[in-house]
Amino acid sequence: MNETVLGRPVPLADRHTEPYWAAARRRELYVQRCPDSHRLIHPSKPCCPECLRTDLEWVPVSGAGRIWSFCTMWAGFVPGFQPPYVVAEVALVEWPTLRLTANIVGAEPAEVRIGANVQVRFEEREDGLVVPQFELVR
Amino acid sequence: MTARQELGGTAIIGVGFTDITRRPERGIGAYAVEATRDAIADAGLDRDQIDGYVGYPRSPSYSSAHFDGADEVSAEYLVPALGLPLPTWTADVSGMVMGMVAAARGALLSGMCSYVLGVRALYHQSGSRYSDARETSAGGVDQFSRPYGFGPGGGRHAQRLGQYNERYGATRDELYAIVRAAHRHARLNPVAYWRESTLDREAYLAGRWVAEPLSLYDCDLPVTGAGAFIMTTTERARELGRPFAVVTSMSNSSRPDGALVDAGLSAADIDVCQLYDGFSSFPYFWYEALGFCGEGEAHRFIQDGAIELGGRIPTNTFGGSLGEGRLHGIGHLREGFLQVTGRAGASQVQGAEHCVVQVGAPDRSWLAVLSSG
Repeated sequence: MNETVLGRPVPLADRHTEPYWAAARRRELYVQRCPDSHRLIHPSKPCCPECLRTDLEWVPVSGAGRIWSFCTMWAGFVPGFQPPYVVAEVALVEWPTLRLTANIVGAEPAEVRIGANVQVRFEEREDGLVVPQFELVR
Repeated sequence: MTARQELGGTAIIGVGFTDITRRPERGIGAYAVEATRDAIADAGLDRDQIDGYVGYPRSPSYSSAHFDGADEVSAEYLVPALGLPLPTWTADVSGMVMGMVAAARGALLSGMCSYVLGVRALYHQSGSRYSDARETSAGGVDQFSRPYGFGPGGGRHAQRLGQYNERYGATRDELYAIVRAAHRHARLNPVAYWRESTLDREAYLAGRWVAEPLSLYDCDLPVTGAGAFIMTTTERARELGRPFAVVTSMSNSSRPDGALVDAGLSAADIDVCQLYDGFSSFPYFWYEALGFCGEGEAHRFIQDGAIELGGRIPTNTFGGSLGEGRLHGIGHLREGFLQVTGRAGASQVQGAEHCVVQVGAPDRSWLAVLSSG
């Protein structure tokens, strides 16, 4: 995807989340991992929910997943979005109970199904910002 | 006898309420005070007897300024405004209205105070758009949702409903039963926003999508209004000699059926329910979790008037948030109190002894069994 998408809310990275957005700028999808249990964690948490370790690692994942659930937004509540658009919860193949919120791009809402296989795709926004999105695997 | 029972009990002894409007002509503070005056009078108390306060000030509106006294009321704002002698216990809590009841229960049973006032006020400004999230940036937890156009409009709950529909074969047509009950009951409630509703199945199905599979009438309506309640110990409530509602048991989403289990009750013992319906899909979870039906069966259980007055388990007999307006559960608590004290008027379930009152999204709820005192 080369087209730059403009005018949408800009994520404000913080000390917990900066590696996620830095990885996205490199066209990589990273999530947190507990050094002990290797449990994957997203969206970013201050600690592993099992052992409460705060020194979580950042690791790459394949970006392959399945649509666990989705909705189609028909209202223009958020700047930069033209309804209808799909917001999905994507379960990553590496850790199916870990779910990323993202739009399903490159497809009409009517084509989207729960259980569909998807793959990460990186969307360019203004000022060098890159946002992980997902597309259907056809 | 469990440790909880040894502590004694708490009771709701009065409720207060204001009108509900989309075009307020007075400030949120006035609404909060009017609900308070009404509640104190309903309990038969004097203002000076109130020595505890609990609130939940947060405005849920995406376009809220979050200004204390303008579109929210905190304990710090309201307690001095009410001219209460210094209360020995005040708190603003999380957990919405039933979180307030849970906190008040703890304060009363620990002896920190004798009469707790709880107030919930919501303010919808004329001309404002509740879901208008105009921010151009998103920090904290919102950075993983708002950049995807996610947040306002119930998208999270639409996703949950989509999952439910897929797993159990539930349909939009079935979901209408929840909305139908709300609008029918709202017609019995003189303060309900939809008190003159003529909504029927065709009009419901013609409602535009908001966050598909949730459509217009699946969403409650932002309004201005306030409610208040007074709680004390069961012992003091008895001494007052007026009808009261015992807070028999409470639990939260970590133990959805805990309120029933702790009370030694089952679904068959419950006469009426007030289940939070900020989105119409929420009650599905509770019919299943509380044992009114099996897992995945709620979409069928609710059909044929089962949740309307005269049905198997009348629910949201005041119209719920869908019919009365979005007061974040204070209406649910008021109606639970009125039902078990036999004061619910046109929506009274005859002989109602136990009412479940649950407030919050299914995964972030508090609930109680209220019982006739």
